[in-house]
Amino acid sequence: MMEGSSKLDHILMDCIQAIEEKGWTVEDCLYRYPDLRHDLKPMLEAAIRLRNIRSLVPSNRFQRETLSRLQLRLQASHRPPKSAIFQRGTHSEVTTLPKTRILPRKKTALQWVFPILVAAFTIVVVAGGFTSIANAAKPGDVLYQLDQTIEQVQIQLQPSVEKQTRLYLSFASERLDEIFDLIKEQKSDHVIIALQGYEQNIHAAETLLNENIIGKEEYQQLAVVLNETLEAQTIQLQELIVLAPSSDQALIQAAIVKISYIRIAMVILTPTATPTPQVIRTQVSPEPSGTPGPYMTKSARPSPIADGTPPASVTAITSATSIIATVTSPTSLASPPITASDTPNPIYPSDTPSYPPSHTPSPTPSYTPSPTPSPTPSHTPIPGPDLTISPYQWVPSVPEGSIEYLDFLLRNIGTVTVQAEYRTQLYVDGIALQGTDPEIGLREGRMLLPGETDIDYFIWRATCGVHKLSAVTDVDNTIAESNENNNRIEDFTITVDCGTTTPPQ
Amino acid sequence: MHSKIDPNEGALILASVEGDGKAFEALYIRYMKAIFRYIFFRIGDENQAEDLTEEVFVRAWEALPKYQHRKYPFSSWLYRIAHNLIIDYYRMKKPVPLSNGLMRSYPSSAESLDHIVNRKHETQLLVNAMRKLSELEQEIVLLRFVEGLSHEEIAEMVGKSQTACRVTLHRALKSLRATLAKLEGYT
Repeated sequence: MMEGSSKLDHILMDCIQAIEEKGWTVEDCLYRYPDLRHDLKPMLEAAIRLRNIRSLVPSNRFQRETLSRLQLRLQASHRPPKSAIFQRGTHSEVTTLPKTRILPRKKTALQWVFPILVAAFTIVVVAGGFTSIANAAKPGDVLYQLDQTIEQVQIQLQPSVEKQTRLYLSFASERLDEIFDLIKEQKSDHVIIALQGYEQNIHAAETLLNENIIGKEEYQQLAVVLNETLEAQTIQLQELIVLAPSSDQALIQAAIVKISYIRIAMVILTPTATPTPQVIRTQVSPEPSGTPGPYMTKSARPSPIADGTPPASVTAITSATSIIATVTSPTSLASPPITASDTPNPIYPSDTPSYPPSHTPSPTPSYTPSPTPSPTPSHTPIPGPDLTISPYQWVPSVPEGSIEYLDFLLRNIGTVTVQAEYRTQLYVDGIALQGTDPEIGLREGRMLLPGETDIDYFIWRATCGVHKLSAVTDVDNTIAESNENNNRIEDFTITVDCGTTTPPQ
Repeated sequence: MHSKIDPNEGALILASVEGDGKAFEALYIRYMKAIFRYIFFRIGDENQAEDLTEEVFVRAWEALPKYQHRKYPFSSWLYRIAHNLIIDYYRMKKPVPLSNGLMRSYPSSAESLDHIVNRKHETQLLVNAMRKLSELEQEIVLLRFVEGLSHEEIAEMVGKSQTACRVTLHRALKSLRATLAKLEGYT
């Protein structure tokens, strides 16, 4: 029996290999082994069918967002990852793994030698006049590696966590500028490198911040700087999506999602989390006249690095909800930060799902940081679960016949967990999308802890014409919420161009 | 699916044990799809499979300091965690019916709807047929033919001899083929 099973297995694998690599048919194999035909045939047929589904992969959405989510979950685990100071390379290609990464991060007796050596190196480099040249190098340029090394040295030489954090942010900003240049020069092959560099710098800044000074006084101010920087950079990334070739758009989109998660995590981790008095805009609306469009020129882009002083336009740390809204709405992204009040008291989404366009930002908003923010929010949420829904990057026009993923964000802004017993329904022109394959118009909700956000999506096949899309969460009203009036995405107008095959600009 | 420990993977694992989140992300990217497939075919629901896939890696991250990389391949260790999670999943709730979310990853503008539907149908059939097998048979079939593990690795994972694994595999394949024929109405 032993020999028999082993022999049969060997033949089976040989046949599979021949079928997959040499184009044999099952019959070809069976012809070769007539004595085994009876046993071999069913096994081979089943095995081949199983092998054919090896290409099965998780959903695009999952693949797009899973890394960001995993990072958050690891941060929240019993064993949060250590500092990302040394994580400037990429692990995505294992062959590029720098050896320094596997070294224990414990301080060695000779560690003081490193700063001296790098300082000496820097002086030599500066004296040689290479720094400025290298600094202008982009991915793909000969001096880019030197630029990276100099940056690393500069970070190591910073005397404080604050300065290191700021430098990381500055380098992240440089990477973004490089992406603009690379796209302009049609060197899209190198965009991914610059984008990875950008994400690594942001991640390093965030980790540095959280590991070293969370809970300390200076954290709040630095957190504001990081938050503002990320906000500004999100705008830049949105611009990049428009400019970038389609092959890079998904990567940039993923970076935007990662940033939004970092900002949400900051809110969660900040002990004095003070949701900003920003107006919550959860609906993509037509761009108001006078506001800068999302496609600003490079020169018109806001400075991506805050100057370090308490921000003039926004306060403390943005609430997770407003972060989502910022990411959600291209209009709000492009607009100056919107303030509804000058005090850093928390606010919560409006009770009504439509948001009046009267939130004109003050041209010179004044803000005086309070050293001891009031622990008592001016608007205390009513106890209970409270679901909100907002669209996530819905686009106003799509080509006919395209299969659209309509992402939406669900957030529990209440004080009690929302159980997974609710559903979210998409309506097209007021008619509930029934979920005919491959369309999906009804989604089962997941459990959401207080403050937790989930992202989900519908799938809709775009049909010719102008449509009004809307969605309602907890459509069956199974959750007794403290506020039942914020469960809806109001009519979103989407134009499906008849006969076009590419998205209109 | 990489089943052997190569030096780079060893470095990634060591760095992860040291607390390097980026190194662990690289391992995640490397194994995420395989773990997803393994879970998906055991529970038949894509949403749940995605959730459990993430959970596998979170648990792996937390347990990494205890992981003995010289003793077990990292992939086997992940499959073991996934296996335990699947058991927990079935203990906590009844198997969910195949949802309309099944294979929702397939829709793409580059693929015809006919192709999407056909592939979805095939996957659904296989998932249904797989569920008729015993747990051990499911596991061995998946590890062998979907993930491409060797009999040696499978035997180590399931705690059986290689011969026993082979015999189980052959029996399972025949049974699977018969079930597929029945589901397709050929018998």
